[in-house]
Amino acid sequence: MSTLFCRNLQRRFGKTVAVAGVDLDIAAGEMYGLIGPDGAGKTTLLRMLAGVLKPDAGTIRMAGVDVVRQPERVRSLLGYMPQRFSLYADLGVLENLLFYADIFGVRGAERRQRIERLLAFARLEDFRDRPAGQLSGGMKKKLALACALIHRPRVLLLDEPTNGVDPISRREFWDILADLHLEGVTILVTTPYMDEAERCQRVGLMHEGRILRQDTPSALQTWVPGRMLAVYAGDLAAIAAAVASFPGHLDHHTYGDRLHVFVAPDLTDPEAALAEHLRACGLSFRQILSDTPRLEEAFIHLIAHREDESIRAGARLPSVEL
Amino acid sequence: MDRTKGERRDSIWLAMSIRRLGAIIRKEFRHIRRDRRLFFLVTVSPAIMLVAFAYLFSFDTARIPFAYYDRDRSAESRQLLMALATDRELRFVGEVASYDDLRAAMQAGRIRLGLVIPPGFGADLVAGRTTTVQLLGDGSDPITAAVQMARLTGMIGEWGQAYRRLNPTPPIDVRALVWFNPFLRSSHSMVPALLAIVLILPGMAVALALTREKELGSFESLAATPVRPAEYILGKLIPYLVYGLVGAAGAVAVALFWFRVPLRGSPLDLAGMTLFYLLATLGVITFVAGFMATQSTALRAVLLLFLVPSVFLSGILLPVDPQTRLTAESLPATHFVVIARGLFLKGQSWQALGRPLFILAMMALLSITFSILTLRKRVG
Repeated sequence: MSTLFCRNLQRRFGKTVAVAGVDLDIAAGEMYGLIGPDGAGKTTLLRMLAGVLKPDAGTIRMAGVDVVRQPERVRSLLGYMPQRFSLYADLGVLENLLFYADIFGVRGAERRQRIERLLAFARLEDFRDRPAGQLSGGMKKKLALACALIHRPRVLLLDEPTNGVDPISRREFWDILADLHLEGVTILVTTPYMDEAERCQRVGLMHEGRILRQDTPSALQTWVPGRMLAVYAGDLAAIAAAVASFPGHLDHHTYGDRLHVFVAPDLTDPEAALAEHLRACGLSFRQILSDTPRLEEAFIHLIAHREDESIRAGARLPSVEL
Repeated sequence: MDRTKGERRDSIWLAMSIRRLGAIIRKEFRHIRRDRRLFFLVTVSPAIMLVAFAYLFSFDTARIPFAYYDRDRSAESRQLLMALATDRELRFVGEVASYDDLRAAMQAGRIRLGLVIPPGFGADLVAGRTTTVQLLGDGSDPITAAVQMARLTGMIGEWGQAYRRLNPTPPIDVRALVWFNPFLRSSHSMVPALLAIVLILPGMAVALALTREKELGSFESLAATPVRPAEYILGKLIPYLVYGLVGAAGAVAVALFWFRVPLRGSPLDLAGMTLFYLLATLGVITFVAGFMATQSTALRAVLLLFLVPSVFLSGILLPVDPQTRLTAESLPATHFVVIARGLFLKGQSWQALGRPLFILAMMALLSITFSILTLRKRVG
């Protein structure tokens, strides 16, 4: 049986549907990454799973406990880190940890050991007395994680834990999550970063209140139909304009110093065909290579594809911020 | 379904852990101590606000300009005027030669008090007969006029008694007449009653504390912990109650030593009843703040629902109007005004103040209970 399970979870705010029927089955010890554009409903979903927001419909079970009806019963096995900084800025690092230890009933020698371990874990030993409000962005996130871990939760819900954190702190934070994963903690984490999603065992793509697809990060890349070619060139704008008229062209995006071009899978030797097409247009380029699409491309493709369908179905174009 | 719902209620509201309650109380004390503005709001500002309000509503700090019309010009009238001239609250503008001059001076605002000594004043005193003087006040400022005329009546009466001790004479009969506004209101009981207003400030602070937690997002983290509504509400209230008592002590000290209001009742009764009043205001404001999401709405709610109605309806400035009786009775301040005046001025004990005390106790009990029952450990 899954440790975290939900069926047909729904929540609307007025006329806005935030979560429009989500099913999840997360196994014990699994690390699950939830990606999706802003406004996809990730935060609302996590709040419902954490038992701090009541769903309009649907069921949630955490370790067999009904979270909707008995949210108090899951408190001790759940660690929840909201998206916003939610600790007490005027209390010191140690005071925040002690407060959460007392609230969760962690006491005596265990409290001391646990706090020392978490301080070491989060590399905050030298900042015990610093008010939480005066920590750097990365340290704040690590302190929030430490507070969420004070009672050894079995399930950890993290809402964009590395948002606004510098890359080094981000890496450090994920190393901590990897350790927790090895300890057997079940983790559900939302992230806007593809490289982070790729560190999860399973990834779900959320869009407009639904989970469009979920799979392993490597399988996710195969969702993109066709093949991906990377064109390395100086004038990417001219190349982009030219590839649109290439027969078999599906889609293209710039990606740093190159243009990723998606072409129909049935083309024979697409690299050579595209090279010929570009030369015929009078354009020069350094090289064309066949490449595996990154999670980000899969993500953009799936959402764009879905919007095309909506347009065909006569629906209004939803706004997507990426 | 009903059974599980019942179980949930039990586990949320009844079970309370002293450890968790203690954690929240400690945290809240730290917030108050570290936030200078909050600390000031709870502990010092009641005393400061009492001074400001008391002067605003009753006392005039400037010396009162005063003139006299001495129609007697005897040694005795001169003695009386010399006695008044040493008073530090009066400023002698001078002598006038007629009633019309006195009226003109008051109309022009040059004086606000006048004294007329009739012919034969000295002769009557010497002969041991009761004599008369006339005191004139400016009714356009009724509160100052009432206070000063009452004070001068007392002073002249005392002077007369002192004179009689030296010479066997009946006391002077002072006849007061108010010009421009014959219906003066006494403001003697203003300061004790204003305690009810300034002790709303700790309640304002708790409303800010409750909504700040929601605004800053710490409530979302807390909602996902085993903390119980009762622990959360009581953990917030108790520190503000403690600091509120400190603030109340400061305000009472100002009343006693700055405004020299006599405390005729027992100080212990005053402390106990202030505790009940603070519990009632903190409780009612906590209940209201529970429905507010931001500090600014909570602040506005406290101002509009408590502070302003309490100033105007609770019987501080005017007796409670029968038309607004129900609104007035629903304000904790109305009941504390009765208690404070009873304790300070009448020297009443808690037995005599049973009704307002009982109402405050019920308000405290019900509002805190409902604050706990209506607290949702939820966001959005």
